[in-house]
Amino acid sequence: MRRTVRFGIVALLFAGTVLALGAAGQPEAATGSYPLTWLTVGDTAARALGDEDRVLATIEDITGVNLQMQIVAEGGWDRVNVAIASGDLPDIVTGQLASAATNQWMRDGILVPLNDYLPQLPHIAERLEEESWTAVDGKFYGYPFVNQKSTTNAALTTRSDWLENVGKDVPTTLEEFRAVLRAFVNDDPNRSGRADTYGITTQGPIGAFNWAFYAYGVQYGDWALDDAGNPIPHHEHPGFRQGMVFLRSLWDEGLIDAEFMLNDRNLMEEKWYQGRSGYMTPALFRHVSRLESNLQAISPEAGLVYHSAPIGPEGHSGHAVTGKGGMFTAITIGSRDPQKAAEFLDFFVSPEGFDLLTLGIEGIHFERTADGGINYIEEERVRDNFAANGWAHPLAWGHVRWPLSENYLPMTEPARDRAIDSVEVATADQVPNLIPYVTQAEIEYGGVVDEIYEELFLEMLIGRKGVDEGIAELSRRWRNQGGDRIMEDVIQAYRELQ
Amino acid sequence: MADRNELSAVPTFRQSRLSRSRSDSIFDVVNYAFLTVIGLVTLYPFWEVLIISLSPYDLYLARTFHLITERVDLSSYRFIMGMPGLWSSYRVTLFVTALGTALSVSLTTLTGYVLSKDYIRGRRVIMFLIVFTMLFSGGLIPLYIVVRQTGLMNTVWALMVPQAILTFNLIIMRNFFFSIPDSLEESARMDGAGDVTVLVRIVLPLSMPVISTIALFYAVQLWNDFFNAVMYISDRRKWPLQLFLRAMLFDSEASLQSGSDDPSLLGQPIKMATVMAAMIPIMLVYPFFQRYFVRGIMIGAVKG
Amino acid sequence: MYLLLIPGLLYYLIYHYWPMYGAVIAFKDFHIVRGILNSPWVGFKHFEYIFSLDKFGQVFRNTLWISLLRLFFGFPVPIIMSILMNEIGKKSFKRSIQTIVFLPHFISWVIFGGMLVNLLSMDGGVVNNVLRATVGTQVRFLTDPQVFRSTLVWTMIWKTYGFSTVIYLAALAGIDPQLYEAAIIDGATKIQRIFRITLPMIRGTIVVLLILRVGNLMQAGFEQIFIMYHPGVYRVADIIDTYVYRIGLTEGRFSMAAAVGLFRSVVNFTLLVTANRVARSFGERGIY
Repeated sequence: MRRTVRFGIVALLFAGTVLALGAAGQPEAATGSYPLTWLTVGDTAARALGDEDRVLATIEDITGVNLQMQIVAEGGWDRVNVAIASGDLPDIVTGQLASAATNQWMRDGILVPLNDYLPQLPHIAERLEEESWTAVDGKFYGYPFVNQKSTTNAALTTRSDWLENVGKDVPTTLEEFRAVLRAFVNDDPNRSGRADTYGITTQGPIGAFNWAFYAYGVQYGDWALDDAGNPIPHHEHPGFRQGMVFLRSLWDEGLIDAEFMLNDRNLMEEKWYQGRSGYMTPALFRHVSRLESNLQAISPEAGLVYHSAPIGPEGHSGHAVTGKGGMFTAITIGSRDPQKAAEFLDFFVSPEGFDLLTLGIEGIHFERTADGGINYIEEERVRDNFAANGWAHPLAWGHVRWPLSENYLPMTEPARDRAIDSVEVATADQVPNLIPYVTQAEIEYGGVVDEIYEELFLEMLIGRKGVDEGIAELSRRWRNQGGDRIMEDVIQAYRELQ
Repeated sequence: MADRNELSAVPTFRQSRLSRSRSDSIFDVVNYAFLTVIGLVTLYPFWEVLIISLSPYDLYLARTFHLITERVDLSSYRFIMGMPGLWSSYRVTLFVTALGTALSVSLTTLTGYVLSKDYIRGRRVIMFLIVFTMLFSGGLIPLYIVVRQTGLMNTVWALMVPQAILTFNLIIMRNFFFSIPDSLEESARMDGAGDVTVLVRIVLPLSMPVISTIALFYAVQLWNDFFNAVMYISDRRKWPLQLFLRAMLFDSEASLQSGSDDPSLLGQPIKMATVMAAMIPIMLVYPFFQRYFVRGIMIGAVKG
Repeated sequence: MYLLLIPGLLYYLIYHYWPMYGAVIAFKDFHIVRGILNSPWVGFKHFEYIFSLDKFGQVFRNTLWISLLRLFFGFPVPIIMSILMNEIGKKSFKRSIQTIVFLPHFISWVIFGGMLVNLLSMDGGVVNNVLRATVGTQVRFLTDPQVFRSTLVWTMIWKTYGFSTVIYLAALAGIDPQLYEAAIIDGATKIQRIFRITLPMIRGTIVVLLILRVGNLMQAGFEQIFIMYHPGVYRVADIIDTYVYRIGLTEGRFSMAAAVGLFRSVVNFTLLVTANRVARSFGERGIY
């Protein structure tokens, strides 16, 4: 009992001390170079930065700053938003591109326009020229990174042993694809003697079945055009109706995993490894060798097969949507030296900065071989927190770039050629966007209307609503819950682009 | 708690000794059987986590139901133990849990005790104002500002102090104090004991069941918390265990895209091993708390 | 005595009442630079927007309905369990079962949800395999809107009953054993003892937990539902919290999020105050 009391007293003393300390505030770190804080979500899977990180030291030498990273865990954009909204402003902040929050930062005057500094920021200026739509009233407030803008790693993926077992080739048309799915369900592809397989499984309804709509002539990743050439939402295009009828027939025949909506990425992949479903829609690229070796752990004869999206009756096809979202890195008005911060950021996005974060310092972390290859010196790299097997420094990804968009793979990556090939195949099916950016009304109402789309899509697919009835309801509800406002913006943006 | 007077009139029961013992033994048999079944059902999730964490990946993949594993494989645990930063996150969590529990239990006990006394003026108003905070809050922004202004930002204190009293626990605690008869206190006071002496000598010993329960709740809460760490801790070296493990292992945009080790791709056994690694230490303290609510403290005995 | 109250009150003042001013943000258009207090007032604009969403009525009804089901089926379970556990004579058995009931508390919903999918799925799920072998039918526990709510409620009970059980165990441990001894001498059976002694003795705890639960009806279990639901069951399982989260009203839209929160708080508050008043009118102490 005494112990409890003593504990209590100690604890109270502590609480008192903490409050007192709080009032005193924290002392500033005194160093010669400019202390620069950067608040970002970063790459949560990366290692912690070490105290004597030579890569960080090199960056600091070159840019003349003392970098203090504030990395938020868990992809915690909420935390970033709260910090900014509370007036806890870092020098640099990375937010979400085209989101309500970053919009507000610009509108409320939290961010410093970069225009005046652009002459000193060659690399940022170059990117801003490509993404000129990010300007608000002629002012550029930050460095945009659009994820999966020109490459993607999503493609329909199946297994070679099943194709052989049912005697089918890799399908190219929609009807061939249907035939393969049928065979996967009816012709006992796993040789179990039971009807225990599905044709295809996937993850989450939005976008997972878009290949059907593109095959029937929906033209763009974001919107469609009607006969008069005016932008309309996908579900008002006749191709959407045909695609929906096609998908519905697959569902009615039992070719689609009846519980695909419960899948997360892991479960989807497991169903595929375990031979419960022949097709899935995974992320490829550097995952190719992992997926295939897991598959072979259960079925040694099997191989991973990815292929182009099935072609519709009039020759259309497509699979992945072109990205519009990503990250937005900006200088805040909390920075005492915005120019310094901007110059730092410019180095960070430059090719030199990129090499430093992926390869390291030449002679210490890597050597160039005579034939132009790279020799990674793993024992030195691990000292500076590089990830294993030629992968990058903790700061490399998640701020202004991701590996896929850079097409980055270390020379040591197993199945490197197939990884690159999978991206080429997937990217060939990437459907372009009508409007390359997210309009204001979409930021405002997008969540609500996507929601309606998702719900009705699923009801039509699983037969709870007829296709025509469902489309009519979707169209009506979609438009009156914000869709009309979105279309106004989209039509205007489309006119401006033309 | 019910008024104690009404209990002094224990009802009388007329029944033959034989039928009583028969009815009791039937009750016992049914009860044991029922609780065994329920126990097994309740144990199942934990068991499955354990089994998957001990399974080699290929065996895990080959089946969908995991009651046993043919090969025990510790590589998942070895992988976790080898993660840089794991041990420092254990240290942070241990520190926060130990100190935070002490802080919270002390504050909750003091506040709950005082507010359970009928002679404290304004206690209902105070209690109402406290309950009010359970339902209404100012939201994240002002709290963030307060945490910053009290100097807790990016310190481990931010993981303890802003949640020092959970009103739910306070209410449970206060409710328990009602059941301690005032007469005990009065007699102690007559012997010249002050407020603190009464609390320490009389009330606390009688309250061990509830104190240990509340302490358990706080300890588990502090141990499992990651939200506060996401909000207030940006220095990775101060990340507590839960946050560290979640960041390393759970699916995220980052794990699909990043170039780092990316353990989430190593599959379910490692994930389950992290669940176990996060769970085992806090489970070990459970028996210490359990002692008190199994045995109970005999108010009557003290009274006599 | 009053001095002992100071640390606790200071805590509430600093970490609860000081930030409380932030609630006004629900009636304002939040402007970051001007701060919460100087942002312009907009009256009930944010509330009007939320109520104008065509799904709001549905998610509101779902929230209440799921909560009531949880209350009705879930509330008695820990009471029954703790009493049954209390009647166990064998120390080792008692200890094991008390440890076991608390274990699921350590497993997060993400993990537990994944297990449930494996257990309850139509292809390969153990439960359905058993059903097929015995009754000959299968149940789409996770995808059929008719049964999904029951799945939610019972899995919630499965995972969480142990937590409240521990509270009741503590209350049971405080019962004077002399009462039982007297009853045994008077010839009471175990069942009689449960109804005449045990239940009346923990009535206070039951009432307190019931009031707290009623005052929390607008929270129908965000974490669980968020993990387990999908568009196919939105109609029956979508609650205010999940809907608002999904459509992104909380993503940096602080005024909107505050309006939703305030609405929820007002409903909860009304329920809680009513419940407390009712309890007091029955001679209970209530929670304040």
